[in-house]
Amino acid sequence: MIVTEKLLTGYDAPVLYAMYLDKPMRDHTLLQAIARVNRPYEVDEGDGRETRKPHGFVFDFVGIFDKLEKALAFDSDEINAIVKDLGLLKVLFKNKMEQKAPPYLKLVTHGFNDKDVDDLIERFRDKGRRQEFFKEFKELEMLYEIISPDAFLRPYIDDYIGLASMYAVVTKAYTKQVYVDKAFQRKTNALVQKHVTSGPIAAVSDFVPINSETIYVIKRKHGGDDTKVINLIKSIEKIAEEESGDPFLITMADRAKEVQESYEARQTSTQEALDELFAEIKRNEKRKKEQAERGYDSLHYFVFTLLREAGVTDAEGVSANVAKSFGEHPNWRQSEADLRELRKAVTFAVYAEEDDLDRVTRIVDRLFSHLATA
Amino acid sequence: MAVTTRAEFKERVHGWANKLGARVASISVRPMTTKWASYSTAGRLTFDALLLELREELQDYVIAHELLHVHVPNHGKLWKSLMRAHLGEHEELERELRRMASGRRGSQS
Repeated sequence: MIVTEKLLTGYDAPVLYAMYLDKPMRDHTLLQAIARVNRPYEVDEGDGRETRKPHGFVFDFVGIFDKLEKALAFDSDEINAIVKDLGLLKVLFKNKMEQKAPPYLKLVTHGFNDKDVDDLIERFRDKGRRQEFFKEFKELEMLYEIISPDAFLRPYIDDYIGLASMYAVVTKAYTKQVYVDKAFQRKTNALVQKHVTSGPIAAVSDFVPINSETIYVIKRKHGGDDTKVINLIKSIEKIAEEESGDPFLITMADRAKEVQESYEARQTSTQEALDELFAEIKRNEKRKKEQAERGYDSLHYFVFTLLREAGVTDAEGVSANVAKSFGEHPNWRQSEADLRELRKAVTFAVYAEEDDLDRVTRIVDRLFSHLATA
Repeated sequence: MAVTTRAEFKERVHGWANKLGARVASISVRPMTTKWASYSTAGRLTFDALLLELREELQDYVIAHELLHVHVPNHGKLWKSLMRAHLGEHEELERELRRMASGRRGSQS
């Protein structure tokens, strides 16, 4: 969308991610423009994870931003002048640090080594528990941002850094796509940058390639089993996203998601979750091998296995015809007419080998419902 | 539920104004259609008469909300932190007021 002097007020689309700015603007026009894109967007995907956009991006072709920082910078003296009762906020901060923080701080005993990280992941498996912690931390952070800089904070700094690091590890492990440095507010971020080594955060976001080596690599990795479960799930999701044309990977990511859900709900143990994920990876390797041997592409192979599982005779021949039909209707996702034609062709291809029309319909339905989510 | 009188309510507002160090020029309580209360930079406070029928907790929420705007003209982190300091868990109160508002007149609070 290209806009000139339009949609500056009232245009509310929090999902808007980037703005390219190529003309000079100032004062409130500029602020208005930035505010169009700089809206937080959070959506709970219903599966215990959230997609978060904590801020937008402005790509500045003009060089406006030096001015902006000047215009928007306000220092704490100003705040001090406005807030007579900063003291009250200090009391609140102190109380929180003394009453709410210790149980959390106790979770980290070895300076964020592998075991600590693993314990944190295990501890915050429960979504409710995570949200409670996030809420507490965000409130503390808000207070810190207002109070800092102030000598009053000095005795609490170490603990505060500890909490910030925990926050970084847990969000990284359980939230989709978080840029850790963007998850913090300005002063907290500076503190984290200065004091926190990236080790514990890297440990939870360490992707492993999904291939025949994966299980071996994961087993040899140091770090606890909970960390490994998270690593594997994220890695499977990543490959499914990168190779979104492969329906098999999509269903694999769906199953990984199910594993994660029951893991978080403690319906499966860590070891069981790990075993299930290993089984998924093995299954994927097996099908890759068979797919290569048959010389099928991923769609063709997906159709073939689906037909074979449904007990269709000559799954090979039928799947070849189905794959051909898909090739003839490349726009089926966009065009309703194409989809209709494709469905017809696929139905006929299956009908050629399967006499029961009800069964044919069921098979075709299943095929399309799988592919539609892919 | 016991209904607060206008005098009692204004007394309440003055109490909060003292506590928060907020200057108040005038307080009026009258029926309002789109919001629970408003504050003008001249120090004029207006409250919806229906507040008189609500729990004191909810009255306090609305009063503190407006009076904090005397020093903090937005709902940013400073405002939120001060609300937290003065009222504790205030989000639930806010939701309750919103629900009432949308149930009663289908508009924002």
